[in-house]
Amino acid sequence: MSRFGPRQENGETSRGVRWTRVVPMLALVGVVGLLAGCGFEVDQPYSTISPQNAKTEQIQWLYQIIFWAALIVFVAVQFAIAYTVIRFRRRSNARPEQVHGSKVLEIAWTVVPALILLALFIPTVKVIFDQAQAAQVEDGFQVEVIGKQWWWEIAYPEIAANPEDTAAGPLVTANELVVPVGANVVISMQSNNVIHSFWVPQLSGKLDVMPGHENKLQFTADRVGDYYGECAEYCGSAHAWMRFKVKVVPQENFDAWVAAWRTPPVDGNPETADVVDVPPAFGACLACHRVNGTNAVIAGQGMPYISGYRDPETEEIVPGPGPNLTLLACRDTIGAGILVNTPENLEKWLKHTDEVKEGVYMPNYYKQGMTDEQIDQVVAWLSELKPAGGCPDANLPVGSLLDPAMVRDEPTLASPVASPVASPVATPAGS
Amino acid sequence: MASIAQPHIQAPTLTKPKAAEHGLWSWLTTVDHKQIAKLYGVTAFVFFLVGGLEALLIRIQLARPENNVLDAQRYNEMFTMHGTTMVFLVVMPLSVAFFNLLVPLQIGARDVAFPRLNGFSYWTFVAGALILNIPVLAALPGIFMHIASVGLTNVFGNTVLQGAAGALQGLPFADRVPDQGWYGYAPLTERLFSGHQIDFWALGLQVLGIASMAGAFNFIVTILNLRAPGMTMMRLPIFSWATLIVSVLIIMAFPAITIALFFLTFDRLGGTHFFSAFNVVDGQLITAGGDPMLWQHLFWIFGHPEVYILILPAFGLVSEIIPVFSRKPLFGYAVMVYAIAAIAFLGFGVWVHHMFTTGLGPTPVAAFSAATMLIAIPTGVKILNWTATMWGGSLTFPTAMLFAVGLVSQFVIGGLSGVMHAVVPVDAHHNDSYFVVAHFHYVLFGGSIFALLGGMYFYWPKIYGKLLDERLGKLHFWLTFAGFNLTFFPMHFLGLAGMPRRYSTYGLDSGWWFWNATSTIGALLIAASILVFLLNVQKTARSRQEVSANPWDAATLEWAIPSPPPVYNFRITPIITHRDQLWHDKYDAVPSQREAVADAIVELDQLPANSPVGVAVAEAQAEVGNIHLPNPSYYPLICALGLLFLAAGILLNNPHIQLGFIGIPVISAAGLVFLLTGIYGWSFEPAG
Repeated sequence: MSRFGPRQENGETSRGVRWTRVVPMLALVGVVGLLAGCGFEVDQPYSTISPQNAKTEQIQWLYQIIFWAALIVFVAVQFAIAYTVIRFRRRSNARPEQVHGSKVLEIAWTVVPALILLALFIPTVKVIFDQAQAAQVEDGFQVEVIGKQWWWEIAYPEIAANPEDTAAGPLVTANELVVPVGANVVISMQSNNVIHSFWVPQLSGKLDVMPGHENKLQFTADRVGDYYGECAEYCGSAHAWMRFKVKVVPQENFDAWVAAWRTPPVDGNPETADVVDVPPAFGACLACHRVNGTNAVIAGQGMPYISGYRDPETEEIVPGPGPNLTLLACRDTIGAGILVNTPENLEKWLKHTDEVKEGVYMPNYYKQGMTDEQIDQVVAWLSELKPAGGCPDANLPVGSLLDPAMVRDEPTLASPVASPVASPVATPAGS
Repeated sequence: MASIAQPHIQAPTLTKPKAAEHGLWSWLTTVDHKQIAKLYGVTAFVFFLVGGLEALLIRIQLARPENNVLDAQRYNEMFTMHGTTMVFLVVMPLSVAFFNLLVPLQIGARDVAFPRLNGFSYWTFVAGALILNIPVLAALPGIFMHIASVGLTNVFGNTVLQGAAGALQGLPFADRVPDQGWYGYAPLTERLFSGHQIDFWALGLQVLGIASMAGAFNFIVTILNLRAPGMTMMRLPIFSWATLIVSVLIIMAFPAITIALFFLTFDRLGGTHFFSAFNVVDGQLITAGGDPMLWQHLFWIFGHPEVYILILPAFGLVSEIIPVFSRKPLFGYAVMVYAIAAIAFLGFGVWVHHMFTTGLGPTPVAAFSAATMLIAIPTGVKILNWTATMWGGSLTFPTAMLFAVGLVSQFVIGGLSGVMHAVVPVDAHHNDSYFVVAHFHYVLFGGSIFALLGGMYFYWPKIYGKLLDERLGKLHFWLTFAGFNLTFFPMHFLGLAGMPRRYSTYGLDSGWWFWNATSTIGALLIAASILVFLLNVQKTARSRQEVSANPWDAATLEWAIPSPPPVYNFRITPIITHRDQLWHDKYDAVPSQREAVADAIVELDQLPANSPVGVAVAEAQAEVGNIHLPNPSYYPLICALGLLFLAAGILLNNPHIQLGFIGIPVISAAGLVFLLTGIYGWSFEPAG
């Protein structure tokens, strides 16, 4: 009898315990079915397998190679195990042939996997170096991102806040990266606090935002649309709510957005002053938030300013500067994705800051004595931080995404505050 | 030649243990590797339940969008402690329990080389585990009370329990549960961004490291020096090979994390800045000169070999189980040994694959991608050799075999997703997503836990003299198998759908609900399977059985002596002539020898299975002369207490006693006294 030849049947047939044969096969079929079922048509806004630009399509190409290779190996090995387990069940008490090994086989299943892996490694290396090369681009659309706890500061170093006053620095916004379609975006990423990771699954793989290192991420903005981003490196309490968007808009919308950003907000008396005074109730906010074109420009921004920390001596939380609020009313969400941007939710945010977003450094001024009238005043003013003619990217199609609503409507609150369910579609930003 | 019957020259002295043979004191002072194995096993299993409870809380929180069972802080604590517990307090010590039980028995030794050091390893492990877990144990009542209050509030609209929940959350230490993730990336662990809980974590791991190192040295010396005559390295049972290689991994990998944890503790308590690029002084951000990348390199230079520290013992167990129930020797023994060694060696060259998204640049990333792919080769060889072991065999499927084959099948999935992660551009998506969570649970649950559970079914008769119930066992296996796949396979889909790990909640619109809910149902099934196992243990403990020395017809030496083994293991030291000695003696030896061997085995079988230590030793002594056994000793416990107090002194605001101008920190000083006393007493303790 050959070592791997047909098995000797010693009379006794297997006693019918059929299910023990059936269960492993069912499990196998189930797992393969699940794999097939997961498919490639996924309607999730953070999907890694619905690429929307050249870079993610290249990753997808690589993923499909490795996926099918893995699936074939998986099915082959599971089949081998299942077949062995079923065929060689004990049918007699005879001692089976004592095989100690087979050099030929063992060399074969050392060499064959090595060849498969080599075949996988070649395209891997190609894409690694392709993408590294692409990130070296000199004339790309430059963006600087600083990961904060727990939001994103976004600066456009080549776009001045005020073209006539270079000392005013670059255009700075938060949590929504607006880029013109066709741009070859090069993002320089830094952190002055903990590690974050910048991930827009439909536009790029993730790249960590590492304190003390400047990492560069490149992708092209091939198609107009909203793309959902998230922090992918655990960064403390509110890690789950450090979302952002990349808004790829037509060039004219982008230009309009920049122009709007530079225009002072409308207030009671816009003709009389270049600089608009913020309402008195916003006074407490000045220390941490900027609004371009107003007198709220004293808060720090950029790398020298940390979003908040725990004092090592006193163990007390020390809040730092927060997001730049220019054109706030044009943003889809507040709290880095935790609430849809509506007046009701702004009020909720101001009154329940620490409950809406646990761990947030922004103090709850309502608890500290801010009155309802003052909150109303701030909400009313923030809700109007948009151009008189409406937001420049309003009414754009919401990209390629199947499900535009990225945010939750109700935060977890001890005493829930009723608010109308809003979605960005029903109430387009800026309407 | 009849091997077992050959007497071997014995050490001339007999020591009848002076300390208690039963009761608490015997457990506190034991240096018997079999008792220490039980201590490790039971302790690790208790932590398995604690870590499982933490996992269940995580899954319940994620069962639906915007759930509020755990708040973000508690959620972060639960995943941190779940990971830390399962790695350091469950899989490692359960593996060590098997090292302790099996290595001396498999190599025909009386005990490990340094029995008291073995006791010290265990008690130091307990000390580290306590430092890590006191905050969790203090916090859990409050968490459950909070869940009850949330439930009651939802149902009845009252808030009766909220006050109680709040009060329980305020228990001492309950606010100090580590919350930085099991790999504790700086600078989140620095004092600017986290509280005192990090010190508990860092010092707890530091103390656990001492325990692991001591144990590893012990097993290396034991395996190299105490093998029975004739047991060449290539006759060494494969599990002992795994133990040897894992021990080498431990002594080479742990120094890296020891250094990293010292640096972290210096950063936190001493004001250094090894890992912080920035610091805040007088409200101003300044550069501090440290580098968070340093932590990641140090941690993963430890952390990746650690993965193999967790899985190779499982491979060893499976390599023992599958041949027995195939009634065939392990296919390609030598290659299996080389494969373990190759995996261990390559395991030191792949740590950067945990850091592919940190921005290291294309060249190192490509190199580590290649190294990572290489590891798939010896791993694949193991899978196929196990399958080839079964091929042509005469297979039976008791629960132990089901778990072993379960590992072979399920580990393939974890292995393949591992290769996917080596494809760096794809890993830029999968890294830190649920795809990775799925991957390492297929490796650590479908791998390590399956094998450890299988090992329990396999060795239960050897440890306790009773076979676990097979009907409940099969129910246990199939529940585990179904629950495991239902829990972790959907996580692949969540990862592909872009769900990052460590998110305390998610919105409905993310499209992550369905698979999260599925996963939670699977977790409940796993919980049910563990209850079945506990029921089985309880039922077996109450059953009356007599188990023979070798109920499975296995081939290695531990099955030549009664179940459970007498305190002295082998009355006479066996002489080894073949790798699968018992099979050789039973099936292959020429008839005359076979009879002699059979006689010898029967004789060994006739020793009273549960006889008290003294009686058994006296009997054995009467028959074959003196047997040397190590004395029980309480000095290992005292040393471990010293380490516990030293760490506690750093963690608790050390009360000082002022002696003139010298302030003496009381708790740490007490710890030092304990430690020095322990070492002194240990050094001069009579060898007996």
